[in-house]
Amino acid sequence: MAGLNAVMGTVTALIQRSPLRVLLLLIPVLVVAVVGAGRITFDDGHRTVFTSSQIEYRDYLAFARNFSRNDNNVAVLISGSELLTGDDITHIHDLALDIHLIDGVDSVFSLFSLQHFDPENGEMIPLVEPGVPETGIRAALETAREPSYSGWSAVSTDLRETVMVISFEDAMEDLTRAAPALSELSRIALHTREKSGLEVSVTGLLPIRTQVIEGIKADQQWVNLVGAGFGFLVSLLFFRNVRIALLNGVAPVVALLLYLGFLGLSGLSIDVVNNTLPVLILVLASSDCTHMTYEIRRQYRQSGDLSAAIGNAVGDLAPACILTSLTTALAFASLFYSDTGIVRNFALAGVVGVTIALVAILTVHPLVFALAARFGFLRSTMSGTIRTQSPAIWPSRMFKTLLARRHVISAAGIVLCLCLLIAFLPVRTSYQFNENIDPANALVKTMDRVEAIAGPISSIDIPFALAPDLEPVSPTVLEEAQKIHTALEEMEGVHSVVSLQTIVRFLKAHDRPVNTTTVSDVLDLLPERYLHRIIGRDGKTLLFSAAVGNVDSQALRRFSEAITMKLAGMDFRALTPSRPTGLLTMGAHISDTMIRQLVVSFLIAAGVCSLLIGIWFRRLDFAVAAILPNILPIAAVGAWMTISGANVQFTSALALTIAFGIAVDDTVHVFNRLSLENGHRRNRLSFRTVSAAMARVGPALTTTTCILSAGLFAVVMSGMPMVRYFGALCIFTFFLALLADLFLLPALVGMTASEDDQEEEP
Amino acid sequence: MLCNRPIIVALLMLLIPLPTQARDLSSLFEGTWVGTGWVRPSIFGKKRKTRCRVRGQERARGEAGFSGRCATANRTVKFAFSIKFHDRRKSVTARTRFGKRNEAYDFSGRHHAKGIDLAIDRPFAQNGRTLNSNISIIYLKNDRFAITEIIRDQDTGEVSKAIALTFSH
Repeated sequence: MAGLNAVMGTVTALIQRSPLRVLLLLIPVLVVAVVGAGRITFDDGHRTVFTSSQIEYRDYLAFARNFSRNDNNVAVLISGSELLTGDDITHIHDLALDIHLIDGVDSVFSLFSLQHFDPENGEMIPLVEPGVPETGIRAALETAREPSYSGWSAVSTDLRETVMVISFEDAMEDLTRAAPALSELSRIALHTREKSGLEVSVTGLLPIRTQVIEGIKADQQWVNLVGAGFGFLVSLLFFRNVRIALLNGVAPVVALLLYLGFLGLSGLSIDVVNNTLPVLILVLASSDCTHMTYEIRRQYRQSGDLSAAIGNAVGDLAPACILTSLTTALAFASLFYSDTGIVRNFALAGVVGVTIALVAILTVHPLVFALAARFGFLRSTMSGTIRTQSPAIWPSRMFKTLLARRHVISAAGIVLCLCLLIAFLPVRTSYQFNENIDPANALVKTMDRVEAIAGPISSIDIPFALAPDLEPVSPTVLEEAQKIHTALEEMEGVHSVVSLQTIVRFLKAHDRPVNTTTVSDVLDLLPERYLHRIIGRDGKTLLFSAAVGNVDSQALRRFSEAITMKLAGMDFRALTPSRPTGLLTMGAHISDTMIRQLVVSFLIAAGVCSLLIGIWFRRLDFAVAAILPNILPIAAVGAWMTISGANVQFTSALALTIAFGIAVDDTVHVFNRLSLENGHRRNRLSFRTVSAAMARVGPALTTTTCILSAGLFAVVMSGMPMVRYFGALCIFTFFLALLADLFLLPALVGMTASEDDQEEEP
Repeated sequence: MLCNRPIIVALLMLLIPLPTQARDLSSLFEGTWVGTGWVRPSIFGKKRKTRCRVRGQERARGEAGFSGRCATANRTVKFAFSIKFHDRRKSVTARTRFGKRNEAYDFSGRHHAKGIDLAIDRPFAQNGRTLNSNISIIYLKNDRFAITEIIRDQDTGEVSKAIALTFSH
């Protein structure tokens, strides 16, 4: 500690001696940061969020190599005010033609894809075509209402709406490549709308992902700005001085800029997971800067020497700031426990961000005050009488009362924490694909309407390996496919099934003979994308897709298990089932593991942070006392999520870990103040020391909690529900942590403190 | 069906504009062309409204390449095509590849002031028939072209106008 103080003393002295030179050194760093910030990329995380070593991910990769995927499907909903007419059919036909020609489009399913057998010509012809007489349209549309070979229905029950499903090439998974195609699709949709009077809406995973990225970009523009604004307002409220509030905000803004520069220069994208980090860095830096500003003002009012006040404030608070940054960084570092790439990137970005904030607090903040002092507009601002009494809000007698009842309060705290942990654990997880977009969003509403007409777009996919000596289209295989198809269809919650049996049913529906030749002929007619939704590219695997709709991850895992059990009870000769897979299934399983790993990360962070506090202050009583006030808020929030049925989601698990790392900062400041009041001695504390320290640090804790919460309140402006939820959880946790630090922590510290005013010798 | 026919070849041929010198012809293939019209996917069956989008580029003097796609409402066919102009006797040779199996079809013919006439080098088989293909490309005003294809059943003599498309930039 002496060494640390010496280093900080040297750095602060250098800053105060030559603030202009230090500023000149800082300017090029800021320029590089601005350049870096301009190179930031954005990613919705769709391709990376589940990348891991887990078996479900490997299954999905194998499935994606062998079969066509539905991930890149886009749906177009065309609605008329009444029954679709001949003119409407013509316009929709032209729309389908134009969509086919968009670069990147692999195939289009529409009502024109539906065929029936024309006995006159002996060939399959479209069911619906432009030029069909008006009298024949209703009959054709009614037939088109039935689920087709794709598993989808093309027309609504009232015959007013029709759905097109556009499958893009796999390369379009990259949104920068998909952007021109989506833009052209929107243009064509608008043109059709204007020409025909029909309502044409576009939705699907690709447009949703695009909107998520737009949401992330908008968040970066507005949330950070509003966060800085709120932080300034709270500073203004507490310092009651515009200049001080402005000076207080400089270092946090510099920290934010440096962090954004790091992201851009390192190539780390801003995604749905680390989207909140910039505003977190901002508020973290604001919080510590506020502590420091408080201390500078207090020291100046005591000594009248501004330069000494700055140096002493930095010297007194630097250890605490370093420790709070360490504990927050540790909370982020605990996330390296996850084997998911996107979480590990979040961990890295968090550790670096916190480090950057610390450097800004210890160098830029004193620099700002040194420059302000040099230009002479600080002295009158900072001067004033010192209040000899604590602010009424946290009077020392309140802490004396808490200390007097320390046994009851400590016991109640332990019991409460245990009850909350029991309610929280074992963790129940929840994940849905569209959780990053508002349910009221037009894309989501259109998707709901599309699925109401066409049926679920997403499915649980079960690959079956063919016996080595069998061809995909052979009598034995067809017989077994029928049994599997029927068994899956009969399961509750399964909307429809697509498999080789779908082709057989198509032939039967058109009174065509069913044999290997006719089945092969129909398969030959299918676009390649649809063919490889039934038979694998290797020619040795069949796929059975059970459409189940957009249910949450728990329900999906139950479905998946039920399917596995059903198939395990069947006797197979020609086909051997693999584990259910597909994007939905993979997401449901891996998200559960990821979220559980995040909860373990939190427990790691809790243990290590307490240990660190004990080692830093070289006091076992501090290490033990630190545990309960920081776990209790997390347990309370976690228990609430479980009891309310919200369950623990990806974002909430991250929020708990990060909120813990930030909330423990308050505890560190309490211990730092205790240590300062006790003269850095390691002897037993006295009640007087504890209550005096709490009375002194209480207002600062309250201020910083308000600054943190105000800054994070900015995220309510986010267009993404999970980001808003993240902010709300963190704010709630911060206030719970404040209450725990103000009411529980003194009691816990008091358990080993002396009631006598005379302090015991070590 | 659309994908079983070599007619697509012809579509690309017609992207060629007015000059009759080989070295001038190939240089004018650059750009994106949009075609509208109809095709008979099963040759002797019903007509289907079609749109095409193709991109052309000069590969060398007297040689050009095209690639793109043509679509009916329920099917898209991608293709690639190359054409060579020979100054000697104003002859033209071409090769196209398209469809699931990426089959190649060779054509030869002549170019003249009003367009290009091509005939398939070897008859092709479809649905049990042996068929010949003749394609005519006609230059139109305002930098546009029309293409028609006539398919003849070699055995029965039955004739079908299988393609009628107009292309513009």
